Amino acid sequence: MMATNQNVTLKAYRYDPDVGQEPRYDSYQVPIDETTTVLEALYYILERVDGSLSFRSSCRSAVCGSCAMFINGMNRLACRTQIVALNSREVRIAPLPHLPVIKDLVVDMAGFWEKYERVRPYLITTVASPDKEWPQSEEERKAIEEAIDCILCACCHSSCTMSWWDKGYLGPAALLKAYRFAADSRDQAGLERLRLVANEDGVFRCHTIFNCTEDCPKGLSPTFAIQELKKRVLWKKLTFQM
Amino acid sequence: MSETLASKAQGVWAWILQRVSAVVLLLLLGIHMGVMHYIPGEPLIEFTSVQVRVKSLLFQVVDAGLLGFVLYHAFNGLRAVIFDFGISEGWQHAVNWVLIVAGVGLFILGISALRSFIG
Repeated sequence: MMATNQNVTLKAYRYDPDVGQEPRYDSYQVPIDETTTVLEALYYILERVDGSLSFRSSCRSAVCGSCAMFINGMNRLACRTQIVALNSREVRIAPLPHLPVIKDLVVDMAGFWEKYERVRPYLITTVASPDKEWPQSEEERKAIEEAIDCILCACCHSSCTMSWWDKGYLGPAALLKAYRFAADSRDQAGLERLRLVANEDGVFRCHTIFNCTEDCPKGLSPTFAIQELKKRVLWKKLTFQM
Repeated sequence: MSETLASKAQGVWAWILQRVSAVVLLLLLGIHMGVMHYIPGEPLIEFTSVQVRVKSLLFQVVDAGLLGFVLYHAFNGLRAVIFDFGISEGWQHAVNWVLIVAGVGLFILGISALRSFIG
């Protein structure tokens, strides 16, 4: 572990399409202590050194998913990444890979949200809602325990090699969300839910590379969710329901 | 609701058969390697001993099965690689048919080599 209360060099990717220059990395000296996060370092630069630096953030507590960036070779949330934990005197920050850059560390998430909407990411019911709530047993809740923790930061989407190649592929985040509702005891979309993902742009484009699982800052496994969806689709097919 | 959704599942059989063929190939390749290289007391390789082996119905079935499963596994793998580039549905159909025709053609070509030993 590196010593604290000292400066680190933070290199931030800079690109402004309005200026028309090639992208570059700007270096900044940032004082840190043992608790300083990458997001705090970025705010230090923004407020005291260079007000032109652009990045996204909101909750500062790993809940909103806004501040996902490529930090020292890995997709991470800037707000929950402490600089001392990186164990390096240099912090290199780039926007999420393979997404169009709007400016500096801000990426265009339109494609990500388009895929997210394709899996109909909401509870679909066919009967009237109960007066109070849809009850769930402990086991039923446990089935979706992990998947509901997704914060839609796009770390998995950005690290998935299949998403890089195949622009139509739903990708790990959308498929994890599809699984979240397919496994939800209250959802009544049934086969229609599976049909949304049972195609060449859906679960069968996943080759279990596990980049998404490695990069998820919440410790979730979209790969597991995709494999579960494959199993469900196969079972429906084998039992002539699909 | 259903009018906005895909009407049928695609790619399910290709996916599961790729896994099934992988397991079958492990078995068939094991038999193939064993028969070719590790049968104790096997005479020197010469035409007559090979002829006797190839005339065995079991050998012919295993060999034809090996060829069939290898072709399926290889061509389906190639299909997945091509699909990974995000080609359109029209091109996907074209790729499917080209690979099916090529695979069946190569299977027939391979089996025809056994023909003179059959019967």
